[in-house]
Amino acid sequence: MRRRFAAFWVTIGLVLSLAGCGDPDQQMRSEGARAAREAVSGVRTAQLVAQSLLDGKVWDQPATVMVTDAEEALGQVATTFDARQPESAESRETYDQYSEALSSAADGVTELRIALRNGDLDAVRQQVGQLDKTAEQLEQLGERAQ
Amino acid sequence: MAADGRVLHAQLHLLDRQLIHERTGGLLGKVDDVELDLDADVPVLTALISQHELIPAGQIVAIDSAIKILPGELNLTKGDDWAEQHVVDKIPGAGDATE
Amino acid sequence: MKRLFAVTLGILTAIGGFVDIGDLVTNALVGARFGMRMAWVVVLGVIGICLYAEMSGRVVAVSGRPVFDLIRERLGRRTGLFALIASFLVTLLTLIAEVGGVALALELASGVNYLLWMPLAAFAVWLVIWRVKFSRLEQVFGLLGLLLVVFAVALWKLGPDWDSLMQQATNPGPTGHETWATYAYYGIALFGAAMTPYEVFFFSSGGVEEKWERQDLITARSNVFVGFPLGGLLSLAIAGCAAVLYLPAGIQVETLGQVILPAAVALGKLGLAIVLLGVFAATFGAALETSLSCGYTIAQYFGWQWGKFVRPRQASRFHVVIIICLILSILVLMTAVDPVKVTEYSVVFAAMALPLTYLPILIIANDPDYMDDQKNGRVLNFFALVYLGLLLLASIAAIPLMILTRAGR
Repeated sequence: MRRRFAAFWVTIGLVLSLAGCGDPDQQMRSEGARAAREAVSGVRTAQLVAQSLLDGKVWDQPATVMVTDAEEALGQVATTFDARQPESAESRETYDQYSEALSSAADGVTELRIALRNGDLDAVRQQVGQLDKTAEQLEQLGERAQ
Repeated sequence: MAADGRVLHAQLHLLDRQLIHERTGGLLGKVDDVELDLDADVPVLTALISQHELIPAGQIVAIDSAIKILPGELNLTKGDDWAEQHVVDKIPGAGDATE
Repeated sequence: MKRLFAVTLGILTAIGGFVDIGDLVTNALVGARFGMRMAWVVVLGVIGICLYAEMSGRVVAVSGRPVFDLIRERLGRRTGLFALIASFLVTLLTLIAEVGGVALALELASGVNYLLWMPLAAFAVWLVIWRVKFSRLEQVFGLLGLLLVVFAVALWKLGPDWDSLMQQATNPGPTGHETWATYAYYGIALFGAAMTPYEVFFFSSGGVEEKWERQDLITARSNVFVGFPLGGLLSLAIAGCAAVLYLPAGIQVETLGQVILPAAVALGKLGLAIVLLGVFAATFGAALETSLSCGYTIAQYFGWQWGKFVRPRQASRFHVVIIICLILSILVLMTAVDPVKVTEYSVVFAAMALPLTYLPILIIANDPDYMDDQKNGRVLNFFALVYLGLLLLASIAAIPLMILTRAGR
């Protein structure tokens, strides 16, 4: 009788934790991963645009508009994630990790935008390489949770 | 339409039909309501009502997929006149055919 | 010979005119998130619009009256009013999205902020409607819109793995982090983008503007049965470019710039210039069509004189409605709402309004009073009813899915 009781509650507990329902640590990881994936989109777009500019495939105005759009999108992702409230020590750790990755990604694209607007192609080339690494890191972070 | 003797179904043939000017082909609005003379042996259509104007049955020329009328003195496009006077005429080119 | 020319022109115009901001954004978005796994929705949408556009073209060629004109007669004042309100609001929302699209295209080309272009764009739309002949307006923007064929060229140039694209197309369903809910939601959006209500009203009223008669049925039908499917292929090319370039990179399409970037990546500055011109023409043309449709729906419900075939002075209320709608567009866009977001919402709301706007067409196309011997056959009615069922399904599922997926997240 007691065993069945225990089994019942263990099952409930498993189901609830699998559903992530009401588990704030899991939620923080999920939201962080989602934000990381959204950030990948912005970073890769900026990278693609800048590379196209370097390859002579786009002219300045569209390139600047597209990179600025990516910069704004990234800023939004970072701000939205930063507004979250970590409730436990573990959540706090997750929060800090993702928050930092997101804001450094946003900074990277801002650097790219500045270089682009100044017509500094060397800096653009450098930033493109940097952004590639940033994107890879974000991709890994993005796969850490559903 | 007593002389004509045509049997009409008010809802199917008359209500919400487009009114068209017999001569100019201009669009004059939709039939909002009908006026019937219920005292005659067979109820007879005496008038159409559109945009609060009464169109006597005598001015109806044809009842088809649209209703052709001769508006005579009636002004059924008062809304257009207002819009024309207060807005459209103030814009250059309002009287020009498009090119 | 003259007829062949007219037919060819009509087809080309239909292809170029098929794609608007809704198709551009939704196809690119879907291609980036799902690859070609929603190609079947485009096919379904194209068949649907072919069926119903043919019906509305036939109605006007035979009866001389456009479809919306007849909705109030056949459905009565109250039902007609619902149809009017739904169609008008959706068309107005689409107009706002199109004007936003024009402004975004100009921003991309020039670097000047789209908010500065936007009132200019709306004014230009009005000016063209005020001054330019209907057939010329149709032809110029339809043909320029053909430039969007650059997406097909770009797709080919990107050298995709065609097998893998085919595999995606034949395996419908979500992929990666997507769920069946987001898949269904975007399927509905894509459906709405392909079958937007204003297209059939415009096609039908355009028949009166261009004074179609029975012999023009052939022109109307070839426009529809050749032009629209080719337009559908263009949509698939837009999705394909996004699938090839964005799906593997994890890029999600949220801006017009991302929609057109593949043309630049594949074909360089020339490709970029062509696609910008094509997008401008397609969205400007669609802005013309939607603003005229706003006027058509209201004027035709109330029986007012409408149309560009009379001088503006003779159709005053019609023109005032159009002016008001364009002013409303400017006001809404001035709130700096994202035009791409407006587009995404407009296609979903279009999908919701579809049953209310398409059912009357089916009813009228079956009515011997208007159609004489040209009313629907049984086979056509069968397929049309099937589609109506699909439209109803999409319409009912749209809001719950929008809530469930928080508008597609």
